[in-house]
Amino acid sequence: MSDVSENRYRASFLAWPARIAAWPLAALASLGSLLVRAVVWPLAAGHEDLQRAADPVGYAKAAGAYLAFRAPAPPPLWGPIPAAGAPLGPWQQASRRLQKSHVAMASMVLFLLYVYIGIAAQAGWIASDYAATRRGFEHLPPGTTYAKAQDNEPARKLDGSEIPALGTDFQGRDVLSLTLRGTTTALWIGLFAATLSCLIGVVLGALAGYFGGWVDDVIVWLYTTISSIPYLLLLLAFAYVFRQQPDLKIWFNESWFQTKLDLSLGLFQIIIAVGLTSWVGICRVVRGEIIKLRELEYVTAGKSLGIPTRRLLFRHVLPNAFHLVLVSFSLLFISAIKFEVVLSFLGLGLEPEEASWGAMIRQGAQELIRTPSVWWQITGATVAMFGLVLAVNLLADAMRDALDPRLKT
Amino acid sequence: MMAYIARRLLLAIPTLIGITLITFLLLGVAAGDPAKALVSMKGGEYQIEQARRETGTDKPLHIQYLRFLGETFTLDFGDSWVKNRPVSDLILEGIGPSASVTVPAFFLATLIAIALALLCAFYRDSLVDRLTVISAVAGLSVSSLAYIIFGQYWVGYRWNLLPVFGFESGPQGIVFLILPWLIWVAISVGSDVRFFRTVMLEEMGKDYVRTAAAKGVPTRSILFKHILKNAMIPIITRVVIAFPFLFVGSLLLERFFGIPGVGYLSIEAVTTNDYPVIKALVVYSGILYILFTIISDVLYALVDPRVRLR
Repeated sequence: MSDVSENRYRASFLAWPARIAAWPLAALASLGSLLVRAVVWPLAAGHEDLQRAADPVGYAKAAGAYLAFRAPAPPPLWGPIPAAGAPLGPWQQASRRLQKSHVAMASMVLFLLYVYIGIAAQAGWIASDYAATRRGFEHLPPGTTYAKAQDNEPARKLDGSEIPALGTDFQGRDVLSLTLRGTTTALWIGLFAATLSCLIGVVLGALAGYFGGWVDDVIVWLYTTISSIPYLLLLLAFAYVFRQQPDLKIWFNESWFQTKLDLSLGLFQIIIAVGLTSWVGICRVVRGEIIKLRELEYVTAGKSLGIPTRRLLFRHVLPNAFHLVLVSFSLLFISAIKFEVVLSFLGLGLEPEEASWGAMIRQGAQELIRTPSVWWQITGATVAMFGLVLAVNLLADAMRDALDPRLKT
Repeated sequence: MMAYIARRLLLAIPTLIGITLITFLLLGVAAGDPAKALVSMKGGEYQIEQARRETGTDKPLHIQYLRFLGETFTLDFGDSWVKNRPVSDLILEGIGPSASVTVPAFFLATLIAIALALLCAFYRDSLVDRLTVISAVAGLSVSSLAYIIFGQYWVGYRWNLLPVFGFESGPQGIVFLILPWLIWVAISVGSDVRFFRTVMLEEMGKDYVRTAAAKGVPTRSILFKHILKNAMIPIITRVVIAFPFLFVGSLLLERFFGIPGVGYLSIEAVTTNDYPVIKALVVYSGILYILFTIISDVLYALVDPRVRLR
């Protein structure tokens, strides 16, 4: 990772405006979305309440006319075309409710922005110089316009693209680039770890809930056991196990994670450790829901129709518990990102040149007490992580409310 | 009641076996031969045969597991490889410092969270409620590391209000503990408030509350006499279940503040590959967790007559 190839560095000549603009744009976009959704849109569209208050008679007429000539909804992208006036399905209803929540939409925009940054940084469109160490650039505060004086040459004035918007770290790497690239790392970890634990949790939970009996006993025993061990201690034990496996590194260096995604072995270990240990909560939830569902009449009907068990379970029963999976997935996503930061901080398996928020916080914590204090690295990583976790947290809350209106508190 | 407790204790045996099995498979088998780790740690003074004999890995796996079970039931895991002292002594020494950080902090956080949750439930959907919920979510989203690092930096280092680092046993050591307590409260109060608020609101939606209001019971006594009492059931469960984790300590806080507790010990053990200590910590904390789960179930049954003793 330290050998950032020269051509890749040069090829990104378009990247610097994007790099400089990314953060202000991010803030603007989310604020703008809030503004548009909460103020501009209702006003411009003549929000119903406003219209009704201003001109009750005219509103009633207009509403009548609108209802009479309402354009039909566009047909769905796939699946059968619903008959006119057909009731909305549960997912459509949930999506309507979600769209009504301004907080949910704003956090969705913020989350999508992170996803965009993650993709762009992975593809090398932005922040491709994250690993480039530069002499004379060590510990520059944000917005410095001069590089440090070298042995025999004076301090050099920097031109636009070279000015570090968020400062540089102890090796002269650009903190903004590191932060943006760290987004990719965080998203991969969240995605892979949450998928892994969701897969384990859903399959085990469904089997336990549907079949009951000894299957249930074994699975309940398994998750009771795992939840009896304090979580961080279990993670540390996994980290210990991985450290004792020299073969893992050989295998990993040729695997898809290294060659295609450019992840490091340390991050891969964190993904596996978090994924294998955090499925207990979702397993418990899915099991409880399936136990409730399997007593319903449509399951009995399906059985008497001779639908194969696998099909009945995975096509008819499990989808009805899927709203729980969606919410759990987003919560697992956050907790994986949080644990990455903690584990990288404890220095378990992460290479120091890796661009991850945990590594940045680890580095920054030591540099905070330098004089003058190097605060920008830790601040950049903390703020970036705060935004992502907040967005997903709010989105998960809104999804829970939208998907299960009974739960609304 | 005694029969119930006895049955619960019997039911804990499979879980205990599960914990030992997972620990054994993870640390003794998946992690490779512990003897090799021992040799690489001790350097040249050890031969592999001697290390195998010492760790017991010259025997077949089932014998090794039985030996491990024996260690579990006698609670004796031998000596630490790094510190050359009995593991159980190390852990027992760590429990005091760990608990002195976590127990007061935990109760402080729980009290604050319950008070805030009551406030939110009472003034539901008001500005106070919304602000509390929003700041709880925002507080949840900040990395716990950020609380520790910035708290230590500003309060301890820049403003010089409290010591940055250190530990002393006895009453004069309290100065060292205040900052960890405050940080613990800041980290955990957000999720606690959300949990307790949901519990309170759920309780407020029940029929007996409406009946009480209809017959003219004052709001204050509905809130404090009826709702709080009923909401105590999930609260007690949460508190009791959290207890074993308090003895294990907060890994991050102990590491940052140099508190010689169990959390510090576990990080040290993992970074130095101290196999007996890791093994003992996992098993000990598992046993504690099982015990407190049973205690919480018994308390639950005592507090709530609706819960049948099955």
